[in-house]
Amino acid sequence: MKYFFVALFSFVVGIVFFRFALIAAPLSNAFWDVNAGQLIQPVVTLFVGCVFAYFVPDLVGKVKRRREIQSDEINHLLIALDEVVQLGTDYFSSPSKKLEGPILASLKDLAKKIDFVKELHALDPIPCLSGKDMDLAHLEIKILLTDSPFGSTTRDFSANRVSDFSNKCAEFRRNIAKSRYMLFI
Amino acid sequence: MKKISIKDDFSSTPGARYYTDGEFSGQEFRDEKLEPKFLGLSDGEKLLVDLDGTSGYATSFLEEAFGGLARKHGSKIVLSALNFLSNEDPSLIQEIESYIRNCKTGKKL
Repeated sequence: MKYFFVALFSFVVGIVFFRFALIAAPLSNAFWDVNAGQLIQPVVTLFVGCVFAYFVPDLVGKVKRRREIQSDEINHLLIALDEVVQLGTDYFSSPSKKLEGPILASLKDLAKKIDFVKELHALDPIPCLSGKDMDLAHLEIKILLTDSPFGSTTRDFSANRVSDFSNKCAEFRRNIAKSRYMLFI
Repeated sequence: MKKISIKDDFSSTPGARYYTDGEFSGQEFRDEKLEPKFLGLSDGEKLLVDLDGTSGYATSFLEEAFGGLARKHGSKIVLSALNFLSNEDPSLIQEIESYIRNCKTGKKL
């Protein structure tokens, strides 16, 4: 509010100063013959200007900050997804008991990240993002990776299953990256 | 309400589907922990399954444990008798319920 009063004061002082300077003579009585409309209009214009100058950047700044936080969390989700993809690819190419624990942990971590992004999405909608689609993609990836023969002694995965895993992960990644991009459009 | 915690009563690192797949399989959990508790429920009593605290679950473990129980006793009865707690990964609850519902068909989604 103080900005408004400072601006108003400067405005009035400015008008009076220029009147004196231009006329360079004592004020005539006509100077004070001003109707209310002439006074109110600049004051209202000034007030609206102050509101725009002060509140709009503040509002825009807050929206931008929210978008940045959402973008950061989506980025964490993408990193978690990349971890699943990396471990899954390693496991399919060379199945080993050693990788099974980290795979389950990475899928759990991915689920947690999805939950948090869904919470942010509920507070402030993220464009092109659907919580239901994310859950479904996570479940499909999890099934492709950890359903039998995961953990079995044979671990004989079909070529179709490996390619489905790769395609599903790529599709999920593309959708998430698209949502992140759309945050700033 | 009775309660079973997978982490405290079974293992913090659940394994895969069958006994033959190694330690802490879904079949082992169903046979030795889940089914005895489930059969010990009185009329209308519920069993709360706490899923938190483990390192994660394989689809094969969950399907064999819960889908397998539903194959033996019927999905409606199992669904009405079991409640699930999963603060760490709430999506697990929907996943398990889908295995119980689709236990006959073996369909995963």
